[in-house]
Amino acid sequence: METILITGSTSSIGQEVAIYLSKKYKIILSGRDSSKLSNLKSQLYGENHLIWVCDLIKDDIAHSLLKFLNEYNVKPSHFLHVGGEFTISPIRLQKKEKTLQSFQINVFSAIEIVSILSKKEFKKDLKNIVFFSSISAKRGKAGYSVYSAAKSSLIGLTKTLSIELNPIKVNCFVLGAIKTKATEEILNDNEETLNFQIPLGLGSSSAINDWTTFLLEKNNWMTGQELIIDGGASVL
Amino acid sequence: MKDELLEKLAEILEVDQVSINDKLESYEEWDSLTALTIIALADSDYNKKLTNDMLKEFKTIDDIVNFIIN
Repeated sequence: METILITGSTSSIGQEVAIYLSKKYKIILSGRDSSKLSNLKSQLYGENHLIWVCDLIKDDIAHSLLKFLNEYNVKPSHFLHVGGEFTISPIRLQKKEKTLQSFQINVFSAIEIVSILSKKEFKKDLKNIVFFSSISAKRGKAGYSVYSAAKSSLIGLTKTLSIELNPIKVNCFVLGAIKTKATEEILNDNEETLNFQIPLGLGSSSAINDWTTFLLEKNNWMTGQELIIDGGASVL
Repeated sequence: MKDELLEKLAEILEVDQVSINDKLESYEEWDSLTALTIIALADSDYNKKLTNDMLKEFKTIDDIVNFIIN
């Protein structure tokens, strides 16, 4: 059974993907809150899943991951970087500390993890890396500057790592508005407007489940790509 | 706590200080993005769910302070 490492696994999208993929894979659930992680683990199919508690902001990620992988003797076949943080702020109020935090959790964390997974002892097992970016990286919206810059960085990593780590496939989801528990409150208020702006309406996590399966399981002859999954919003 | 909130609002509105009777619309920086920033502040620092619709009804700094602190 192949192993999948999922950061941000207790986020709404992370949870759904983890539960869905646990039918076929051994999942390494990662997040900072051990009780949330244990609770999520109990909802997964099967028994042999693992928990890697790591605070992507405060912890020494590389050290913690290496220790974890050696302790459990696991070598991930796939890495899904769902972990991230959404912030909104006018550029005139942006503080260095907040900017660094956004980049740390959205981008630097992914760099550290990929750095470990592409070392000799893990590289030959690794088949797929999927970064979860956002349509905010592609489209301008006031207040999104730092978030957009951080999520754009994941697209840069996707291009370069697909060459450097070849034949490991590196791709990136560029996600539009998806209705989850976390976004429900905001999206519900604007659902009418949003449905008008999104040809296929608001997205659901099941679309992400299907796309992830497609990347992991099909011979799709695709690497280094950004997949814009936004219900058509960006073509309007 | 109230003074601290007033300081934060002053920073967001880019003024030296705010007073509770100031009309929100009198601030040069009062716009939808500033409103969004105040909503985010209420949530992250005070755990209060302020909405855009509520903010639209608010007229003065006092309205914001009353909602966030009480």
